[in-house]
Amino acid sequence: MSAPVSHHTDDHAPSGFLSRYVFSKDHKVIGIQFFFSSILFLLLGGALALLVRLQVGYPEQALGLLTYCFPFLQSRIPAEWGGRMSPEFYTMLFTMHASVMIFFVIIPWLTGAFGNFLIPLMIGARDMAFPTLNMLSYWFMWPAFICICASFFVDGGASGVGWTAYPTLSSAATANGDWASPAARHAGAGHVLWLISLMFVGVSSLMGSINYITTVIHCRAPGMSLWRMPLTVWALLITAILQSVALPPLTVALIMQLLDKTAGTTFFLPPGGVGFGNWTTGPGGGQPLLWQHLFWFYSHPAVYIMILPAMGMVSDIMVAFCRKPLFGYKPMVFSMAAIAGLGFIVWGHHMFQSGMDPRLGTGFMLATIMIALPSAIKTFNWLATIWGGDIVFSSAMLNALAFVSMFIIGGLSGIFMAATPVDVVFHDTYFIVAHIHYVLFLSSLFGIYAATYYWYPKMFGRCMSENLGQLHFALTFILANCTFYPMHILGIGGHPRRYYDPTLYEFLLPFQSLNRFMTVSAVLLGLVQILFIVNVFGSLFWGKKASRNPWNSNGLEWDTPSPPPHGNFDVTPLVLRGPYEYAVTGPSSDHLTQTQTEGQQS
Amino acid sequence: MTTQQIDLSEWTFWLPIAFTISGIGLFILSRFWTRAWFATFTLTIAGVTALTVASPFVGWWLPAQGSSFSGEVDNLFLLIMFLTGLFFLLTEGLILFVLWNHAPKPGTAPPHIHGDHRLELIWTVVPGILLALIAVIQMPTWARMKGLGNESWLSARYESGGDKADLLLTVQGRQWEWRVRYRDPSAPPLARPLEWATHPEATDLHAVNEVHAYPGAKVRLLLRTQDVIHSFFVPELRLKQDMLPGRTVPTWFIPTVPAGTSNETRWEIACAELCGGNHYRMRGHLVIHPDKASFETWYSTAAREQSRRSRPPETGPLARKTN
Repeated sequence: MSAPVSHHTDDHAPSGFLSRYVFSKDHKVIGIQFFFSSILFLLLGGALALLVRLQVGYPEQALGLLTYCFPFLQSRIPAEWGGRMSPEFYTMLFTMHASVMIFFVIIPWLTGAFGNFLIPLMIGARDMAFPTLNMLSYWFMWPAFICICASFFVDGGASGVGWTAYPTLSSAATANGDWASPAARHAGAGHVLWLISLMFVGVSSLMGSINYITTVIHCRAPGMSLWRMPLTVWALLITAILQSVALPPLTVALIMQLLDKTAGTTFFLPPGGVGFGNWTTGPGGGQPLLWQHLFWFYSHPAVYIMILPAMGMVSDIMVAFCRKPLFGYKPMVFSMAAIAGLGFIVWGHHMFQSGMDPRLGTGFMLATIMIALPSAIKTFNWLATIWGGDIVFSSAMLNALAFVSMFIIGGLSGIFMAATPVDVVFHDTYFIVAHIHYVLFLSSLFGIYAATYYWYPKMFGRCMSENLGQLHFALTFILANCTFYPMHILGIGGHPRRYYDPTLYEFLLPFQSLNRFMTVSAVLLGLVQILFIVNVFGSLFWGKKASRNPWNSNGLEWDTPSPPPHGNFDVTPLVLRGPYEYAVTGPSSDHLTQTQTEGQQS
Repeated sequence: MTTQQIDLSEWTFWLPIAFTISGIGLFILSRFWTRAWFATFTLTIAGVTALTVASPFVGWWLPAQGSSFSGEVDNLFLLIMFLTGLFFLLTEGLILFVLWNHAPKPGTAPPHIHGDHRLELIWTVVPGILLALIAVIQMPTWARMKGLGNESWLSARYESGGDKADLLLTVQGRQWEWRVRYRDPSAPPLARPLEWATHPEATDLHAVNEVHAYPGAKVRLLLRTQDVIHSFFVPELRLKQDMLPGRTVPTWFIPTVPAGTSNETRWEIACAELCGGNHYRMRGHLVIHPDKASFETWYSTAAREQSRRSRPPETGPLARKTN
């Protein structure tokens, strides 16, 4: 199959500071913009998580010093709680932690930062198919950034109805036109901003995904057939398809909830209405369950949006650091496609206990358990890839290895929740929290770290510190397991999520020491991330200068200078083979890049 | 009280610090011994495995079994635990082996292999069969738990001469309490029990935050909510069911207690779906009387008390925490 010749997508050379660094249409600059905003939001999301852990671990501990350090906290904590955070404040913390991490860190970092930066470079394109759309996809994040940050300061505070925002807790509105919610203090103006903010994120992702699909289909360099694309590109392409199909229903659902909240519609209000104390809403015309179907129809594929790109990048990183071809390239692609396809018919596993017809549960269980199969195939392929390899223990490789070993735990724990009778016990307990963090923190974030260490030299022309990176890895790996693994045990004991003070319950008292252990580990884990931040920002100035191909890798992105100039390639590359020709007797080394002719010096 | 605040001498505080220090140690070790990374992964994997294996012995495990299906659910859990545990040990073991063995023999290069169809077929078919088996084996239990079987006392409409539930009650959630209504057990069976959930009768008994039952009683619960979604969760029953605004969600259980129990058994009811700021305080109790006779004594006393007051009780106080 011959790919179409790339057309001129780079005729937008920057002419000044603003067009070079701010309103840039260069995919690399846009990727780096996503990269830095994701890091900033990682700090915010992490701080929120630590406050959550502080409360669960030590429910009667006054915040003390913290409130003096952060006057913002002080003004948000009602006096009657004696310096402790209030239960409402606590609901806000975990809601915003999840929302920030999912919509402002993991998704933009994977698809926004790496997707933008890598796709054109890896397929040999001079830029994205639609550079202006690409710029807009980043600048549509800014209304979202502003709304989500502003929501902390509005009356009632940021949203506190859970990141799933189930009606009627989230959607109930008073009749008198203000946004204060009769259901919860944190479901007022802050929640309206939350809805608007997510809508902007959705539009941004949609623009990005259309651009990625078009670019991959249309702008590949000569010789770059689909089956010569690196797995990173395959993963980002499949993710983009997922996003473009799953986002419209979410956007619709968000608009419906926004209308319920502000315009008096009743999409999610049952015919009999609901009552709070002595006050009753009027009759509704909808169903609260509708939201759950719409929401999970997006948010379950979103889980794969948050893991597939990491899977692709980890595969590419692993081969470079075990100097061996990827094992089972096509099965890897097909299993990613299978995950994406099956991902659309499993959303109901979030709703086994929701009151949905239990017969549906049986079907969703079958689909959900079978989705473990492509994940298992991928795991075995990774194992076979590193088997017998010559492993280079770089920061990137260590994080990639951690990705695989922790994804095993996250994947296996998913089977428990997929099994409907067992899910009765685990639904909405800490077992779920453990599972999601094994997938999103110990897999996705480790994948992101691996990719950051690996492609940083290409992004900035300097390498990150290996010493700092490996220290950061050792501590993060150990402490993340200390923080999240015991959550499985809590879940087995029936510990519900989102409890402000679990010590109220006798059956939870034996688990409180584990809660304290996890909190201390979490605080240390948070502190250790400073090493990463220092490494990212410090290496910009003091990092070792990077050559074109510091890791002796095969991908097209390593055929350009570090960092690549506007337009990426001096001459349009001619692709001769796939990216996994390692362990060969090359002209000067053990590998053949995608453009090298057999006798050519690298 | 002190245990709820930061205590520097407890293991929960110093152990994570010790782990951090050993992490720094392993990093330093890795500067001149490549297998330090093997050690890091091994210790971590061994640590989480040890915690899982040790937890049941220190009381960090499933709650007591308290319903007719709780043993069945636990067995399914243990089956999955066993199968995933095997898979976990196998795959993590392979990773650790690679880390130990991290380089090919001196003088040889890594093999140039792109795949192996037979191997790939094996690791597709074997997990595929196992996973399908796991899914299929859940189905009968799920159908039974959700009342999909042909037991007449769980059908939406009692067949004539059909079996009837021993106890029919509605539990209505609201911020932040459980309002309970029993149908008089001596009243004749209803043709459409679900309708009773929204059409109270004068003889109904009302209560707040307490559900009473007795061992072996066929308890049929009709769950409703007044305001937001709540979820009725009793860990010992292995029962969790959301309450949906505008709908009646039926569920059921048959409580069991260990043989020879002569006192009431009290289990906690927790809300398992975020329902606002005081979500965590939506605590109730399930009281299992030792036998049917003592339940009936309690019921008639409560019913007499209610008719003396001739009105349902006011909203009960929130279950406040007692220190």
